[in-house]
Amino acid sequence: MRKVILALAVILFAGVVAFWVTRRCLAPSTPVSWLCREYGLPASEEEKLRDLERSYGSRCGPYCDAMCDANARLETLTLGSGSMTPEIRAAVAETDRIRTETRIAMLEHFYAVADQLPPDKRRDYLRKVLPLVIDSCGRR
Amino acid sequence: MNPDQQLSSLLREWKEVPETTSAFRRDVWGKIDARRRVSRTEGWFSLLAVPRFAIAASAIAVFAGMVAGNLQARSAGEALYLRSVDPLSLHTHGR
Repeated sequence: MRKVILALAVILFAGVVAFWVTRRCLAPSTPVSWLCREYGLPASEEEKLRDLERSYGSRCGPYCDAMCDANARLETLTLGSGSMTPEIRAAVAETDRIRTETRIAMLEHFYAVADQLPPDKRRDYLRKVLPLVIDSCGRR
Repeated sequence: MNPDQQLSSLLREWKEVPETTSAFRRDVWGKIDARRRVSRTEGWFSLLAVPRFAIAASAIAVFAGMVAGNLQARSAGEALYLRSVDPLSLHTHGR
């Protein structure tokens, strides 16, 4: 019985170690490295994708702050009023405008990235990222 | 006299079969069932005491661990990428 328990412990240990080592070795260090591995891109493409990501970050970053400011303003107006006012309407429209601009920037970036991928993998990439921009509630 | 002959002569002498109560029968069958269950479980596990089976089971465990680790790394990478390109989620959850 002792032999069996020992064997069982060794087997479990081997499985856990294999899981841990594989996960550690294959876990991507950056989002771009995951993209390259997932879509089988050569190392030469990695720098191009990094550039795209940098330019996207500098475009989209300000939208984050603008969205927070617009939402904070909307919250203040909503809490300070007992009914719908033209200012609240304008503040709601402003948050939507920023959101729309962000979504357009995201779509432009996704198309630019898809353009770097092998043609047969573009659709798969777009399928993965589009739910971030378009929520079709599974109706497509 | 060999054991078979001894048993035969004993059986010849045996005249009366005692009556068994239902509780006695239940107990006997209960014990038989319990012993069967234990020996079936032990049967599977006792295979691990054989080095050949233990090595095979270890190889299967290593393979399963590698497959699971690979799937986990891929899904973690995908989540990392999606978070990195989603300013809307950063805005919603990060603040």
